[in-house]
Amino acid sequence: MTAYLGINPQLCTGCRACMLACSFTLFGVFNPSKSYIIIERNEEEGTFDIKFTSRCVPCDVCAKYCSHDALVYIERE
Amino acid sequence: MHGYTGKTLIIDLSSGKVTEKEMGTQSYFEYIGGLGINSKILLAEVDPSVDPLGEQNVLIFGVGPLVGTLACTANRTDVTAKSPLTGLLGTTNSGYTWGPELKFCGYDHLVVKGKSQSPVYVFIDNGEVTVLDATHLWGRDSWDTIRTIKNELRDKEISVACIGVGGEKLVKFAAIENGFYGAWGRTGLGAVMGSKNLKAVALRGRKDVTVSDPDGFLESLHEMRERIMSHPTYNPWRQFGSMLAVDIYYALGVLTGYNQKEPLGEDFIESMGRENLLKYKKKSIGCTACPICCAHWVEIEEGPYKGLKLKGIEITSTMDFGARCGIRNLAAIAKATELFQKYGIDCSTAAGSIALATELFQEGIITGKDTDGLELKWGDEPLIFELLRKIAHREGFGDLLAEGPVEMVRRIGKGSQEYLAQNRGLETNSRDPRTRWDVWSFGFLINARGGDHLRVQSPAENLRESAPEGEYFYELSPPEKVVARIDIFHDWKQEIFDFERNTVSIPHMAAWCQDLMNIVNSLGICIRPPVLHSLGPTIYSRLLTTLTGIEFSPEDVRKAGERITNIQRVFNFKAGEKREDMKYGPKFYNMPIKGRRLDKDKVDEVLDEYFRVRNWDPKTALPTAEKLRELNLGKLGSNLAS
Repeated sequence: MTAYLGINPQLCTGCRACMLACSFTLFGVFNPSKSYIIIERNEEEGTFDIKFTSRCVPCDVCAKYCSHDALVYIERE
Repeated sequence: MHGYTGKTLIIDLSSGKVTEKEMGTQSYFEYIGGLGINSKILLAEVDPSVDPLGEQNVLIFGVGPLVGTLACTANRTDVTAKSPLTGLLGTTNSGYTWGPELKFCGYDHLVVKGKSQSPVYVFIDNGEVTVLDATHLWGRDSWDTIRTIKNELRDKEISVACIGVGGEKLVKFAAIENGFYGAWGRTGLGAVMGSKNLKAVALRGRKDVTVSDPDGFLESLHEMRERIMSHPTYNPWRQFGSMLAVDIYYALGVLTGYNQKEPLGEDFIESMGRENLLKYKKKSIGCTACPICCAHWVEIEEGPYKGLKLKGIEITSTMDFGARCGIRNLAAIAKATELFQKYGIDCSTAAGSIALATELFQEGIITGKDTDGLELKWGDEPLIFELLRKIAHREGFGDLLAEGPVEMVRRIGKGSQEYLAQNRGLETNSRDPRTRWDVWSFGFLINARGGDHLRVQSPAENLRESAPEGEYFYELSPPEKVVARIDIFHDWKQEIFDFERNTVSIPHMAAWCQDLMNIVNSLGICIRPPVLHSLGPTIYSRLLTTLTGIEFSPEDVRKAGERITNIQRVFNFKAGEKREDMKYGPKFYNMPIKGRRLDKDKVDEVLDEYFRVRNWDPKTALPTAEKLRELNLGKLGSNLAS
């Protein structure tokens, strides 16, 4: 089984649910500055960059809370 | 303390003193947070008779316990002060990132007192507070201000609340801008901020929001998500956002236009209906922790506004400048959005002033001598944009418009008050009480901040049909199986619904949903239908208990909402609003639409029944001593009316 995290920044709405979910899963607190996934906002362009810290080991938590498919967790045999 | 930070930051701009105050558990239990705690602070700190633009008024920013967590839509901040527009309790609510950032800075509430000698802005950096000179920002529009602050602080992720020129010039309906594209728009609190010489509050936080029972909270959170994301309104709201309702209201035949002078015709829906949005919408934008993401990133690719890109086109601005002022071009709504955001003025009252002036001009009550020579016409886009500029700068005729419609007719006289389409100082979104009488319409009379539509909305609306003309106590119910899914307590359901007659009791439902919306605005979540219609006190009590560790029962939550309603009414009474002031604008009683106008005696009968439901004295519209004791508000005194 191989797992991938599919990323599509064009679909990102900037809600940062992924960052909140990440910090809560890792540390049991809500704190975007502790998240391993980072959504950078280009507010005046309506665009968002999706980045990861070096500590991120892809799991499905951020994708689970992404309601607009900017992050999709894919498992393959 | 979990969920809450437990801290209120108090900045006195007169003395420069910055202090922190701990908020006790009992206050959170009784008022939840956000709007509730703000209202409590306002009643305690501000003499309701003060000049709203004087040093004694206090500007309060408050977030609820859910803000900063992953709870759906938990991003809302309520801003509260005495309103310079209505003279009542001013309250205005906005989402996006500012609220969560205040929480991550370590505060639930920010209280700004006094007045700075010169323009300043406040930077709260993870709990460290700095008051900085803002002389160089004074006179700049809100977008320029936000860009400059982000550059100065070398961080584009900082969240900025600021005023534009409108707030500096004390426009009575000035807004506080929430980032580039959001606003605390209603009731003129940008003018309160301007009166304090406070240009902006910038935030950057890195503190934790902790959880008392992580597993329990996650379970409740998943239930919340499931309820919202399976609600029938969820997918349409994702696509159209608030524009969804434009077509629904039009189909019901309840929209009026041109300063609520006549029903809207097909030209309106053809050019301003929701499908038009899709010509400009490029993607969805979300506030923090929202699974709906109902805002639109729009880009105008042709015509006079070619090149304009922003987050915008909502039902409010569409009704304000489309229905009320006569624009028939959704791209022009995007342009209007750019302008009122940059100037920092509330789109609804700005449009209210412009529409009133246009009707008065067309009726010959004012002339070119009053309007700087401008010929006021419906739907004239460049003219409307020029009037927005004049309002924000209080230039010429704009100085009168900047006072808002109620003061305009007082100054103009000559019978102009008969054209007033405002209720208790505020306008609605053109869903007209003469064309559909329901909880929504009745809400204009009892909304604590004045007569708009955003604080008394039923979670059980029947949007397919209206009650027969002449019916004042009831609206039609949705089907019983739909109501069965709505979290309204059994004893309340028995009072509210009559499924044999297919009716909803307006006074009972108004009391229920007014308290419910206070709860929502105190938790820090959104009032839009996928939330308001799918959640209630039961899930809220579970979220609160697991997050904070404070035991809330569903009835505790409901009672907190009721307590907030009661103290808000006490504030308004002390600010001078009497029972007889709780009425619609003259237009709704005197000028018929489709042959219908409101019957004041019948409206007053419903109001009396609402007071009975609340256990308020119908003569004063004040809570009885018994009600105050029941809500642990006995200290407010039994002699309020004396």
